Amino acid sequence: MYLSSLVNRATHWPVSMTPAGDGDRRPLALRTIWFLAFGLLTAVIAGLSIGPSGTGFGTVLSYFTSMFTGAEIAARERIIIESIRLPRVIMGVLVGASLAVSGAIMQGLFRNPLADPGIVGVSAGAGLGAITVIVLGTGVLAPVILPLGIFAVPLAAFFGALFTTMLLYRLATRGGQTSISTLLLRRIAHAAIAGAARGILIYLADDAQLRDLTFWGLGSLAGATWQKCLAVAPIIVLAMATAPFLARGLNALALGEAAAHHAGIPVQIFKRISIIAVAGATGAAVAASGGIGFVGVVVPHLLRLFMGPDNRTLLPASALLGAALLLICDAISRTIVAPAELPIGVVTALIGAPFFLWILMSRRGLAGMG
Amino acid sequence: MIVLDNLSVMLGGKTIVDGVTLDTPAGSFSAIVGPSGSGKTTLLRSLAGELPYLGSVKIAGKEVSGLTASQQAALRGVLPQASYVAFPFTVREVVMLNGAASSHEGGRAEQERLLTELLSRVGLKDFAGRRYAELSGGEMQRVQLARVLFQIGDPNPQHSAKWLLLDEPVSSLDIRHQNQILQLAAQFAEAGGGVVAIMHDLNLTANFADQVFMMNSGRLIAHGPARECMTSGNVSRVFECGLTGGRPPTGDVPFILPHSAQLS
Repeated sequence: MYLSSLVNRATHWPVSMTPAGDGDRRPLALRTIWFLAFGLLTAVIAGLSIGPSGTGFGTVLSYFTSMFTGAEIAARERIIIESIRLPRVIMGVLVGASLAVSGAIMQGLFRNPLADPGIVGVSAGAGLGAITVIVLGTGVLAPVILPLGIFAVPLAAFFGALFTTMLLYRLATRGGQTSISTLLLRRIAHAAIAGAARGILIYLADDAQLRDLTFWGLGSLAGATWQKCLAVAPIIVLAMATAPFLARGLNALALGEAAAHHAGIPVQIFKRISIIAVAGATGAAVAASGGIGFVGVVVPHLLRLFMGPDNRTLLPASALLGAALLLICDAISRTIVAPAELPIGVVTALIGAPFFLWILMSRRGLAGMG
Repeated sequence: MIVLDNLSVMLGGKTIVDGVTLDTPAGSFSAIVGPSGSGKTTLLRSLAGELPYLGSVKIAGKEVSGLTASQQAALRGVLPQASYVAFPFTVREVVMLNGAASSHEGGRAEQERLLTELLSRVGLKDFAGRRYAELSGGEMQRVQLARVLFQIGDPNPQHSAKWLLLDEPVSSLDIRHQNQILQLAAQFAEAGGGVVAIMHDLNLTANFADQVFMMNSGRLIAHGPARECMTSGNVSRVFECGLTGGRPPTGDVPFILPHSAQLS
């Protein structure tokens, strides 16, 4: 009861914000984007300042001022900031933004607020692609994989994600509307196939590869290096750059495919571009950090409640909040069981899964369907 | 001007529209009537560029299949039978959702003015801030009409008519709003735009339509000005049931009553 009254307030507040009650939520959305940008900046500084080594905010501050003053910084602290925390924070920003934006795009595309690359199995497809390259990349597939260098794993994850998304879309969509129950049923079948494939690959893997594979299952930013950032950044930046051009089409698609066509959207081309963008962002995120769940469903959902579903503001706001949220979760995962580290996927699942259940229940209450 | 020349549409191996030839000028309200399954909606969908077709469909001299989605959107707006809107948009957001699709001259202020005007014309003056999902079916339908009109803008800018394609626009409305919406469509036609509407209610059709096209089994059975075309003979033939047509004592608009004894 308390939760639902909270939501009602959240959904009605923006409407009553404007004096005439004219339903114009753009000013609120723009203010929110500014606020989130500031929040992300704060989260970045916090992410750089928090860790088990004792290098804190003061050191980070003097590190940045030293760029201008030329003052000396202790080598140890320089290494902690430059080689450990900075790539990790950058990776967190890239992955958080991709997960949230690909969730928002997928929800618009499937016209369903519960569609999320993790939940419908796109991340699993990406993971399978990545695992295939990790295990077979030095063996059977070496002639194809080696020339790709650091981009091999992100690309394989991208194609895994792309293949899964196209398959899901084709199978679960009837008349431009996607039933989440159909999607989840397909997901079970896919999970079985992917599980079997993963089983075979695990059987073939050696010890070092096995350690890498475990990492996919849990999701973590712990392995972030400059090289990994460099490997996934081009795909993520490219996918993010298409998002502003998708906003209008996603808005039109809220009325259905026929209505989107009537409004002047070339629907088939638009869907293909959206699917490629989702697969790119998800694939790169999974290649970088494994299966971090629920960011893609929680972030856009909260933002829709707060500032409305207009994708022109929802997509940038999702990118900012997704990035900030992941940095916060990462800071929690690094400190809560210090000196050990909880995989970040565990943290996002602990927060995200109850939230997902709550959305499911409130939808049932509202519309009698899932 | 909309011109269909020998239009045929196949869906799933079945011929749904079978060689329809017709034309209707801008500045007029054309109604398509016929029993369920006679191909009315399919004909409208091919006009809206949704379906592959044989023959020719031209709006303002341009073949529909040769136009891009955005070129079509600049020529015509389409009001579907029922519209489900995913996600919690407000009425204002729904109306303006595709605002940028058309080339509205003027900036924000002009769009605001158009929004206010359209909402009051569909009888939803104070609804801008309401949640779309919380409206009644009839209110939703009127919001959708406002959205389509917002997309089109001026019915006849620089003597190039815009078209309004309506699929049973008033089926879910009460009689007062039926009149209101059809008057709005008629005004759109008077202002130089064109209206093609699938109509269910024959008496409303007789009242509002300039032209009537009667379809059965994918074919055009009869057509002409409403007052001449809507005879009990024509209507009985198209709907395959007994009907009585007549004229009320106060005017020359025909009315149609079912002939219950002969209903089959």
